[in-house]
Amino acid sequence: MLPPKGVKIRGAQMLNAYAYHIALALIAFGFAPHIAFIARHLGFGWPALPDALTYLATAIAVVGLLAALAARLSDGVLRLLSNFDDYFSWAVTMLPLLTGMALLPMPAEPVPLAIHLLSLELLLVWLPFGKLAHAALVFVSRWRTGADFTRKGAAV
Amino acid sequence: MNELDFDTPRFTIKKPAVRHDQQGDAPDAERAARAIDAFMRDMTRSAATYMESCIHCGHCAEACHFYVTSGDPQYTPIWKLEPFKQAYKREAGPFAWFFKTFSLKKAVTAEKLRQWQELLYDSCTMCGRCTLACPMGIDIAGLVAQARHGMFAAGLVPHELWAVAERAEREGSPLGATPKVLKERIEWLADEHEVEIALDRPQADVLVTLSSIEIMKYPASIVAVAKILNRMGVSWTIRSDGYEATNFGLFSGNLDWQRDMSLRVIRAAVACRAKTLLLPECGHAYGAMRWQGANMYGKPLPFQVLHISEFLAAAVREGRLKLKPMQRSVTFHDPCQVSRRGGATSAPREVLAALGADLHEMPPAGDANWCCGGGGGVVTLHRADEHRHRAFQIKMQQVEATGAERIATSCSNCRLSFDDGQAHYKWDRKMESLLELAAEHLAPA
Repeated sequence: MLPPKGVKIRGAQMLNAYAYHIALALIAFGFAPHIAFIARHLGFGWPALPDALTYLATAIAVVGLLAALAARLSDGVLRLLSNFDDYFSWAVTMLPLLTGMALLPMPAEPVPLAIHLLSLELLLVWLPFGKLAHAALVFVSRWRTGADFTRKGAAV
Repeated sequence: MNELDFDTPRFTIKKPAVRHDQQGDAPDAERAARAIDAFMRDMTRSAATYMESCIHCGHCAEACHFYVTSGDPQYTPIWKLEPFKQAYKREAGPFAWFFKTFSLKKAVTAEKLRQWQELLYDSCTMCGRCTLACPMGIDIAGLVAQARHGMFAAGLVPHELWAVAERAEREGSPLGATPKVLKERIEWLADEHEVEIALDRPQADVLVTLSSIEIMKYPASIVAVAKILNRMGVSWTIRSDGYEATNFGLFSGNLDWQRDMSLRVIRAAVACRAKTLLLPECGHAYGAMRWQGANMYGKPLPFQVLHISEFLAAAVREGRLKLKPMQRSVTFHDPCQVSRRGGATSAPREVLAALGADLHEMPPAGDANWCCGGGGGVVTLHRADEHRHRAFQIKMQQVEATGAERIATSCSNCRLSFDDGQAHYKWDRKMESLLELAAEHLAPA
């Protein structure tokens, strides 16, 4: 999902977006305690990433999200476009990262663990209502445009 | 009040002494309600998905000539939709009840729509370049067209655009090229250039349509199409009951007028039992007829619709048209509605190849090409001149970067905005027509 040749975009912002999206996916689905949690409820799991790699991904995600927020607050275009939804969606993404890091070293204490789970639940509750819905809508939206314009043999 | 201006390179109505950028006398509350109703009436599944998908990332700004040349955040493409996004969230989205009950999204006012008129009309050519930069692939130009339907319903269309659209609906041409004027010009052209120009034949395989800009400002294009079709031995005609391919109903945002304008041409093609409806060198005419014509007709069109560049490309490919080599290097300006949004990007290049052209592509060319700045009706608006001229600087840089000696395009509206930009900057260049180039280089029979 990169623009066609000759169309300039905000390169650093795009690179950062890819970095923290991939990092978030690695943390969510590659960290051993997360896989254990899923396996306990669903009955199946998969091999975990080494902890050191997950910690690196966490650093990338936290720094990336902070950079994204800094850009949103400082760039004229982004500041104009942004509303409550953008900032709240950012916050509910950042919270599980922060509450998760607070659990280390493992094993976690029950109360901080409950807070971590609640922060994740907040993210999941908000997901369909706000900007986080792009996790699913990106496929729908790109598919609609692709379907409409491929029929014409057109680029857009 | 809306006289034509024949004396300037930009051919439109004269600069109005007093602007009337709103129509009718409806109270503001009613204007706002009409705008939102019209916008929601056209809400498709695609449009609703787009409304929900924007992540406010701002990449679209970098693809817009009006933002890039001004640096002003309000020209960010998706921001041009803001009142309509707000209305969608409040009135039609899946959580509209939530947003409305708690007034989390305020009702859109006519005052806000007035402010946005400049963003929806003066500073958007609906060129669709922003979609190439959008990570969500949002068709912002399509949404702007939909928002313009709302603006028309609210009676909030810029003076010149409303005037030419109304004239097109009433007279059959936005620029005074009435059937009577057309007949006179065809007689004069046929006589002057000693070429047979078929008019009002009862039956023909190809119905040739024209752009008013060609009829009034670039009549050599009419001669060019006649010379080529005569040489090819095609059975063709222009019809005085359906010749105008431009569609200002589409530009201004009036679907009924858009339908009327398309139906005139479709009925003329049906009447002469045409197998092909040939569109002129005009960008939006291609989108209006090739991609929306059947929707206006309400059933599949009983003929094929081709842009003149597609017709010429097919003719040279099939050996029905032979061209001789042109002199000097050339660069090609892609009309957005034909290339990026139309899909006919390769056709003009096939024609240039048949002309043996030393083609120097612009950086970037083809689907990623920059708009001339005059599309979407922008070239008609006097108050948009400053934006448009600023945006035109990108085109000048692109052309100069190619080092090509000649410039050609296949859209008379692009040609018009090039002529005006060239005059404004006293730029030592002249935009040429691909069609006229082909006609000038017909191989000896």
